[in-house]
Amino acid sequence: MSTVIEYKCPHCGAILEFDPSLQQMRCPYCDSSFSVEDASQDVKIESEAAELDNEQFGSEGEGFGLYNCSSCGAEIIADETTAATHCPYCSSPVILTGRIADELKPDLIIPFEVSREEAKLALKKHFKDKKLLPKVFTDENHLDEIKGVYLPFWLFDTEASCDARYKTTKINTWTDGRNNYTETKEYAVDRSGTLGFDNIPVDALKNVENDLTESLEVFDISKAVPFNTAYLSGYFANRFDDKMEDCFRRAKERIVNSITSSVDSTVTGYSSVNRLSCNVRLYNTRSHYAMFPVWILNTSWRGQHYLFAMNGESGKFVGNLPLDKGRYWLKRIIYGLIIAAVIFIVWSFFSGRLPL
Amino acid sequence: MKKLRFFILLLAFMCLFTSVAYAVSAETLDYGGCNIIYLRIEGHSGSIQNEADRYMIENGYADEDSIMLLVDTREREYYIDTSGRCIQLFPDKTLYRIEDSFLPYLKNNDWNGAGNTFFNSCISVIQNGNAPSSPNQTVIQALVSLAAGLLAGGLPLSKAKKDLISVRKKVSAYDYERRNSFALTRSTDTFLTRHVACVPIPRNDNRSGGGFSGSTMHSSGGHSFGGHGGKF
Repeated sequence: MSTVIEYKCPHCGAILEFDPSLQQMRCPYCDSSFSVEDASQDVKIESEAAELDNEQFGSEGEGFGLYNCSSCGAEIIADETTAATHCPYCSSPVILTGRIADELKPDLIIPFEVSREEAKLALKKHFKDKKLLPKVFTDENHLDEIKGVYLPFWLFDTEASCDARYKTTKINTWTDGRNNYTETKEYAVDRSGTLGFDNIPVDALKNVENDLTESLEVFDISKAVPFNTAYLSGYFANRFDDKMEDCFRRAKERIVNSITSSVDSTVTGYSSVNRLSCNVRLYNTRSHYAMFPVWILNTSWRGQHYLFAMNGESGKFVGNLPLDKGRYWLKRIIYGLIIAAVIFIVWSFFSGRLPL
Repeated sequence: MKKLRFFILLLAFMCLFTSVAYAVSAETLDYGGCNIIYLRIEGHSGSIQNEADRYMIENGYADEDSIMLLVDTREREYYIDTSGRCIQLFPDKTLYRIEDSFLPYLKNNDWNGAGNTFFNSCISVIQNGNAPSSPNQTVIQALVSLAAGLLAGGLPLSKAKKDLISVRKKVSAYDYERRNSFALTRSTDTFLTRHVACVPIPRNDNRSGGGFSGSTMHSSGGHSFGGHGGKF
């Protein structure tokens, strides 16, 4: 058995949602607002929910849960990572606490600060000043879906130490009028250094690509608060399905690049530097489980789907756009011919063929 | 008498076995204050450069602004000799291009075609201060320019193309480094080897000296000449 949480307005009985602009729980019908703490104590309604009957759904139903919407009574089926969703019939926010309880409970959450309207405006702004974006894309593409999602992240704190060895050279040249001399001195250079890292995020959902969430960085961790289910009301949320150990591999890749770059920067005063070996060790590693706010926008154009995302805290907007291939090649040929003409004229001039 | 007969016989032998320049034809054009001479010979003694200098001096062209193409049709050699202002007007690279324009005719024994091309090339240089290129050279230059242009044509668009892509993996964890936490715990630099390479500076034997922009020069009979030649 699992629990469903809803935050009902004590004045009108509608479901409260977290409002990013107020940073409070707000009733969308009577406009009443409550602090997150008050809502958690006074208006929280918990009800039991049943796991999905596997006999009815077979093996395909494994890991899915069956819940009843307390607003309309409809049955909601949610997959094993869904922690917050909406009733597909009455659109009421539903929070499934079984997915975020006990060891699955996040340590921290950064509440949404950017509203849905701001996300829509950011999408339009994202299309502006893109010279190679198909002109019809802005007019013809349709916003299929916009979802405020709390994505699960593993955060890693660690200390790193690096031992690196380099082969370097110093080159000195001089002349005595008859000969040119080149002196090459070779050195063996050793450097060791330590560096600390705090809160390196790695998204903990297997079906979300790392490059998308890393493009949204940086999430300001100073705005994180202790986790409270009230922040999920009105949004979607998923619990992690990627283990901490697996996610740490990605964090380690970035840590190794960072500390190696820092140690490399201390090798100065040489004509050439060639790193021979580098050994990085991590220690005092700790992990936290957090939820970060992300607006996900799905659009479609000419049968293709385009995914955009916005950092729900900083407002950073990312998403790859299509290339107008016709315009690109036309411009490339025009620029190419202009450059070719310039090369031809300059070449002719310097080879003494043109009286410029 | 015997001595005289022996002397005459010796002279006859010398004439027989010594290559003496024999002028087949000489064409001269005065254009823009420059003498343009096209001389064909069949055989010559000494180097073809000396032969060209000798002709220029003996005919008074060495004292004026002159350019001459000397072609030995028997030895299949040619030499372009320049004097006076033509030394500067026809620098080496211009002479090379003029050569490129008439050499195909020489290779086909088209002596008149070579002469006409030489005259036209010289007139073009005197008119513009430049030499026309051979058609092949122009085509190659145009094709190379076009290829380079089409390749480089993508550069002005690279930023606009890059603007469309905003989803990228982060390479490092720079944003999460603890401020001022980097500590260098070991730093050793050990000298290993020293190697000195010595390269002699090439000597410049060009008699024209530094800063001269004309063709490679030589002196003959108290006159200065520029020029270049070769075989075909």
